[in-house]
Amino acid sequence: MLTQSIKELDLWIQLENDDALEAGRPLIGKVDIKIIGQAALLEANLSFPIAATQDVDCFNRIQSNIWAKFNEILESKGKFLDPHAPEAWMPTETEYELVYKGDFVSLFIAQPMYVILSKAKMAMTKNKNLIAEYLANEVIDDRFFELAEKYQIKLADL
Amino acid sequence: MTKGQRQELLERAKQRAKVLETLRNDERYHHVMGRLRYENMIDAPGIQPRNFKLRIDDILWVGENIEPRVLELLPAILIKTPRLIYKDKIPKDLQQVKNKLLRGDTEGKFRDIPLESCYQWIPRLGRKDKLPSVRKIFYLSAQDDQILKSASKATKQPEAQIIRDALKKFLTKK
Repeated sequence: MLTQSIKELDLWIQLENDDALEAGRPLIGKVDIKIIGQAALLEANLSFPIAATQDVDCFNRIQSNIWAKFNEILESKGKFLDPHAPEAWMPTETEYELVYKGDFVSLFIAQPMYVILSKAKMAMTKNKNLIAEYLANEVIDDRFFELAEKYQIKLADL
Repeated sequence: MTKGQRQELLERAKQRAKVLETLRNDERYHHVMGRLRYENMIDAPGIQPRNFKLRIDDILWVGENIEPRVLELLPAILIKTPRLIYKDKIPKDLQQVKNKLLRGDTEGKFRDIPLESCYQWIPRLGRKDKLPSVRKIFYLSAQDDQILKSASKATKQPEAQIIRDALKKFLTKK
């Protein structure tokens, strides 16, 4: 679903740039979209069931007209961009996977481990089940525990 | 965290995951998630959309035991799309939360979910961007009341609509 939305956004930018070229307006440059939160977990095809509300968290700040168009595309699919997502906390080490590269827009998804760490730090109670299932079903390496310690995430509360 | 503690944590997580797997076999989970998926309120791959009315107790059970995101949605469902649920007795805390959200008050939590998280769904469910009406009580002088009544009679509009229109005019003049 996200990839399809990004393809539509890519096409829109292309058309906007065609118009801008004719009118002598500045062109829209390349844009990275970095998705975090539950939407990133849904895209990751984890080995346990994931449910998400319809908000999509785009972590990086993008040009307002692109944000508005992306939101419009998502709304046509029953989803929407959470305006507070850029204020979310993510570990500075967060790695993203490139899942689609268009002519103008590239879609990056935060790797699940970092999303889980973020959820464990910011909303452990709400995400207890999710974190437990992640730990039980995915391969957990030392890095997870090192980062949990670095960011003082109380995994023992699980 | 020592290696032993990590191991213990992973063991606990595995036990919890097993419990969750069993809980997910409960019909209440499929019923609630299926309806919320049918309404496009939740994305849950693997859940079959269902078009049945829901029991408040079932939503609370799913929210508290398996998927807390449904607790986020529940107050907004009660306010904006009550047709989804049977007219069951509403638990006291949920009723209080509903009343608070109707007043736009987002202080506090509903069963560990911040009310701000619950409130964000009100304009999104049902009629989009529509917030519930707020009840206001105020006194008018007999003269103002007479003007309101006359305007209502002349335009064949309810008195509340006359006030709404006047407010809109006030805004555009500003």
